[in-house]
Amino acid sequence: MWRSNIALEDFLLFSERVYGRMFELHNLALWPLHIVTLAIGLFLIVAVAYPRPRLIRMALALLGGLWIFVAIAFVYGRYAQINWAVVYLLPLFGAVAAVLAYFALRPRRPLIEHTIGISKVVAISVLLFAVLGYPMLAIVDGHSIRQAEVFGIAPDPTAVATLAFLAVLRGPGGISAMVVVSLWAAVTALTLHTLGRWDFIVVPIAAVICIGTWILGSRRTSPTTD
Amino acid sequence: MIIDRRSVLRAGLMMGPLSPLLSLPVQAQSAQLLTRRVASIGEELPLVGLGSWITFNVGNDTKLLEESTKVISAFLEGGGRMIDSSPMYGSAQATIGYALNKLGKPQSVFSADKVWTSSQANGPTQMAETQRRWGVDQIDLMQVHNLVNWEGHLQTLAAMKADGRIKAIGITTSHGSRHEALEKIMSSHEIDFVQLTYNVIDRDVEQRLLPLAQEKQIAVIVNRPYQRGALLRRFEKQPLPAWVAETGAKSWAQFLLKFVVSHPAVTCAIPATTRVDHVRENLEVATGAMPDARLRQRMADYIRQL
Repeated sequence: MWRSNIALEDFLLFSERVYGRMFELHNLALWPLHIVTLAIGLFLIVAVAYPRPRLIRMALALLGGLWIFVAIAFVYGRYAQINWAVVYLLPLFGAVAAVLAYFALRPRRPLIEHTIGISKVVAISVLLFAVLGYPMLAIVDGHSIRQAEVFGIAPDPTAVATLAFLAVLRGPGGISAMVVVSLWAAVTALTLHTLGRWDFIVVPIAAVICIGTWILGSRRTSPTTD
Repeated sequence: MIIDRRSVLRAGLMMGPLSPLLSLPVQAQSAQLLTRRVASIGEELPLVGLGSWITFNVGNDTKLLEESTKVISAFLEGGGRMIDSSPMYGSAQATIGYALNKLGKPQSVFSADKVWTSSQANGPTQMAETQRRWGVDQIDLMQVHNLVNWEGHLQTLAAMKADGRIKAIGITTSHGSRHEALEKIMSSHEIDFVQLTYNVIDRDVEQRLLPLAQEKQIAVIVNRPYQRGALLRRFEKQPLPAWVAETGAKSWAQFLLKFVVSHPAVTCAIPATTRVDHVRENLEVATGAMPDARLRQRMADYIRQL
């Protein structure tokens, strides 16, 4: 009886070495833009810690802009060279950017609790990890810091930061946006797992933590505004 | 298709004292590898070719493009000819084109590529793009990738062959999939090549497809001879049999590849690699002793008991 022996790894088009060097080349090409994106990341933390509507709107707009930038510069401009399939994921990036822009611009004021509770502590912790900790994973993984995945430059830390920010954003639509971002988390987890990388679990864990935080927070919402 | 007797003798002379020649530039190289004749086009092809799945998908990474060029250079220096790729393999075609351009567009290359689109109408455009990426005047062998719209594309390819735009046409599959359809195509269509998965573990093709290829004089290209390295990782810690010298192999890689290319129906295998030493190790398989049916059975039995 004829049979097929196709495994998940057989769908992978590139090697782990090529994948790592892709980030190295991308970082070299965009440096020192990383300073700007890291500053935006820290601004997100400030917006969560001191949630004034104007700051939240700015943060959402900047996040949306970064999703567009990452989609064009990284996914289309670089990743698609070795993985033609990612072109089909560009609408996902556009959808996240559109939702974030909608949250930033809609008449209803965006709300994040003023009080420091468990939700906010979790969100700020995950944001700190996405902005400052995620680049260090390259070193932990035995690679050069040149291969670091940086918030606003690479999609994974950008997705983690977005999930953390949305985790404390109250009001309708937030969970939908988190689900869309989590689709990317699933894609990247499958890719890294197939490459044999231990850190394949990082983005999905962040997604679970952030979605759980949003659910817990939404049950006892008593939002305040400035 | 048979192993050419004269090339066997030449290959024997290549062993031992002449083997350092493998490191010389293409022009100075006189490597003679065991070949099999593709009856329908009258071409002799070495038993070992070069695949490009994953290994040559390096984007525009200059360092890796140069490394790939060294691999292709070593392959051609060692007497290799067939390089196989596909539009599905990311930037692999462009990498091959980069290397061939750097190496002065060597005429010895036998270019094998594929058409991979569900639309017959899009096939010619895709094949023209493939030729542009390779930077060659003609793709020698064009195959229908994984049987995608094979009826439509075979019509196109037959017309291209009749016009002299390609030398040969073929059809491919891998991972043991869609063998019934492959068998029907081989039986009912005029094709020069068939590409399929065959290795010391995946041996289903020995039952029907390889005998049919011999009967119809269809050349056979073997992909995944090492199961994308999985067989090497699986056996590398195991001892080679005491009688390994009888097979002509000196390593597990050569043992596994000898098993594949020693099947009389196989024209060539196309292992992919990123390393110059591995490409040389692979090419050496197409020299020296070649297992006969009895020894092949012994090899398979040894693998089974492991």
